[in-house]
Amino acid sequence: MPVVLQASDNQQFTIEKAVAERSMLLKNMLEDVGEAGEPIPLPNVAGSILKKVIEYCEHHKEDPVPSAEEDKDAFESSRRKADDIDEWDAQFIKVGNEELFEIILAANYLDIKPLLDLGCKTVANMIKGKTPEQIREMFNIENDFTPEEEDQIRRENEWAADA
Amino acid sequence: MEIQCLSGSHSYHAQDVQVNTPAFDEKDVCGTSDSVITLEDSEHRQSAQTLVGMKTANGRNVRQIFSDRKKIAQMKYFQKVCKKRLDVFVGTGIKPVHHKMPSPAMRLPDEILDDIFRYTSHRPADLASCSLVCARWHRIVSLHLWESLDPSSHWSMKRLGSVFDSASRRQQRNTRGKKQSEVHAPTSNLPLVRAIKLGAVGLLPDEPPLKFGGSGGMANGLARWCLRRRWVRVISLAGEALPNLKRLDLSYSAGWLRDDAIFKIVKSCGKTLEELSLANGYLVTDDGIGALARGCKKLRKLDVSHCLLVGDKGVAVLAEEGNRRLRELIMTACNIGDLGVLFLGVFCTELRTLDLEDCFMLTQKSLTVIIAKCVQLEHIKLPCFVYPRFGPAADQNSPHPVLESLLKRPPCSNFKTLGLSMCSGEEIDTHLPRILARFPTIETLEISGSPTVSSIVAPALSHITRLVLASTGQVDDEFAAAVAEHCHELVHLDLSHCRVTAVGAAPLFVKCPKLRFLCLAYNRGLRLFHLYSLLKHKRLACSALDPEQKRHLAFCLDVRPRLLKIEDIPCPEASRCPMNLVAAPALRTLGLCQIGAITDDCVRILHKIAPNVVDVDLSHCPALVDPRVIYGFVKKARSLKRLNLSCCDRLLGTAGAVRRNGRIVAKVVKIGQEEGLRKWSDEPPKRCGYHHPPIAKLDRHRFCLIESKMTAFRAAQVPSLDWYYEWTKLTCLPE
Repeated sequence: MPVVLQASDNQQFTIEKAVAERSMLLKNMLEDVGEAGEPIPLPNVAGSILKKVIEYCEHHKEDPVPSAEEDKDAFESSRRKADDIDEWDAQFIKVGNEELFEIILAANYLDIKPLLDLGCKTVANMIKGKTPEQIREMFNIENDFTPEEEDQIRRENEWAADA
Repeated sequence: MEIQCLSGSHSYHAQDVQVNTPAFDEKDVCGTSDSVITLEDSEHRQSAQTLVGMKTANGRNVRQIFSDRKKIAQMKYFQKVCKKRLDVFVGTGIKPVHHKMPSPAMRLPDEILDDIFRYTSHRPADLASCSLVCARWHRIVSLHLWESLDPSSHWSMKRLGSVFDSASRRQQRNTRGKKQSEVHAPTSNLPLVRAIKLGAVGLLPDEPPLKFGGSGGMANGLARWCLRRRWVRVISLAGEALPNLKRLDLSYSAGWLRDDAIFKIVKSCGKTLEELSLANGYLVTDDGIGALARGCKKLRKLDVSHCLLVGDKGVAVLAEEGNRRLRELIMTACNIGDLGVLFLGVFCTELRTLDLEDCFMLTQKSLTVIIAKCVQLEHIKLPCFVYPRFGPAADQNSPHPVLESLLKRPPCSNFKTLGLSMCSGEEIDTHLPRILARFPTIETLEISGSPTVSSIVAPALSHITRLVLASTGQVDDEFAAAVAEHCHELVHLDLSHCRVTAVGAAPLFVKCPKLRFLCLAYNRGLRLFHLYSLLKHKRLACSALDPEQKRHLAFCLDVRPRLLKIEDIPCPEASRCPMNLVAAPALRTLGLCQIGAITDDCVRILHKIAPNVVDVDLSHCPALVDPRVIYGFVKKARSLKRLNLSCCDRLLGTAGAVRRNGRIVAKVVKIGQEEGLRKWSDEPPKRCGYHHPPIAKLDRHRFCLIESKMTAFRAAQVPSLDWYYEWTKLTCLPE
């Protein structure tokens, strides 16, 4: 039974149910509503981004569904490594900064944990070894510290900067 | 967010807020975080003043934007009110509030940012950069940056003591209800600290030495005594100053950790502590462990590995007191006997991790019980040591009781780690494939001792990601080649102390694409020359391979040498410099300890071979003589952070920190053996001499040991042990 998704710009995508069920949001929705056949509106996701997300779900539709209990032990998972990215995923996520964040936001909205993790890992890898100015420039973030505040934080974090 | 009710014009995180009406409600603004507030009509001094007062009290970032130039007088008034906390901007005339679309990075909700920083959390330097990006990032990053502290290399004991002291005093004042004074910078972050490593604080040569009049043993002894007292004080103060401390790491404390320190820990932070590591605290006794068990009721994880004085009595109390909560217990090479393990089997059935590696007093009597009782175990490391087998009347054909009981375990979905130390004979060859077939979830396999491991086991290892066959002595080229053939999932492979030569090592480089760590230390047949020529050869061979393999090989060459450990590989090419073979720009960690061929000349060119190396271990290299060469290397290797020169006996006067432009860039660690530390590193110390215990000798004393322990228990009159004594007498003692 195919599922029809409608992006914010009214673009429609028809996908298999197995692909749609990678998204916990759609899975729950389909379980609650049943298969009405009507397009499911996704007002927070643009068409170009939704296309990308569907591409990811198509490739990963065979993967086992990650259990919700995996993350229960916060102590264990508090230190995760960011460099174990699958080869296909690495190619997939090679996109512009704007698009990367749009994908992360879409993955968060659609509740696709592996894609969200992939996005977060990618951003974490981008941050690696950068100075604050470079990060601000890269992500287009405005510096809202006063010089005094900045100086104070720099002094507090002195120990970490050398580590 | 309440602020959105106020503005209504912005759907994302409040960055620009327009306050049009003077009659805004205080409560509406209270909950906002960092906002830019525009006061179109700033005549309403009163309301603005409350706003300002509120914000400054909150310590948030507030900026006022005035849109009317005529109100400069009022602006000055505002400046006076809010002192330096506010930046006051003067606009030119009335202009519309700028509503630009925030960048997508700014639209990420807090929980996603939190996830991102969690992936960065093992790199404090990156977190430090992130916290300077903007106020929202700073707030979220601080939680990760300060969660786990390792002050040993950055703060001296004196500074740490004063920081903790002032923080705990402030807390006491607060509880008495007095007015809070100006918050000192680092102390304000101390409540965020969840984990701290304090074991090695004060052991670095950076610590300013205490000076006493006179010289010789008396003054030295006094200095050491004072240093130890200061260390104990720092640790007990840490418990008081860090209200949310959950994980305390006191490993590698070099003999400073004794029972009195543990009593203080229990007093100061026993209520919150969940994880505690006392590894290598070889002066900690059963009394200390008993106090821990009674005082720390939330303890989930305890690491007492290599605490040689911790035995059955302490473990018995621990098992009884911490029965339900204890999840992880690491007791590598402790003095524990069958009795203690039986206690664990009866009381601690919820254990997830149990490490009894190298506890050579254990027999199958207790091991079979614990395997059967603790069904939830996910990580098991056991000595695989069967008593009667080695006696005079042993039946060679009887099944191995420990391995058999492992086979009888009910299938457990989370069984991840299996460690079998002190194996012997052919049990591994026959049992291992069956065990691995029964528990396909096992990812880590560690085998030591002297088992017969032949290549027929290799097909069963196909899903293993971490394989340690260290000091087995039986692993040869054939096995290494079989591993390379079958184990494509391997990430970590340790074949130290084996008989692997270049012939066996070569296929590992080609056929294991995921391998990130390869340790080939102490392989007598392997020459340094071979290894480097292997690396060099593979790079040249790349061009002849198909694209798929080429990519893999490039990956190997790029990533793998970062963690290549070369230790004690005999090097006959000493006259030519052994390092002069290939440049390794990706090399990060270089272990060159115990190589006699490493001379001053080698170190002179080391920065050319490994220009990006971060961590270099040159300990136990007796040929190093000239400290000037070392300083030259440290200056030239730009990314060097740590250099280990311990036990280079002919190298004098190198201890201390190397500074570049006034900042410490590298620490030259030199710690003598008398401190109890042979090697300064994060990994456990090298396996000790009792790894291959003299079995015949042990057998004779085994009964006496158990017997004498029983009498010791009875003499101590621990009441709850009586019934247990009766029970163990029936079931545990050999006839």
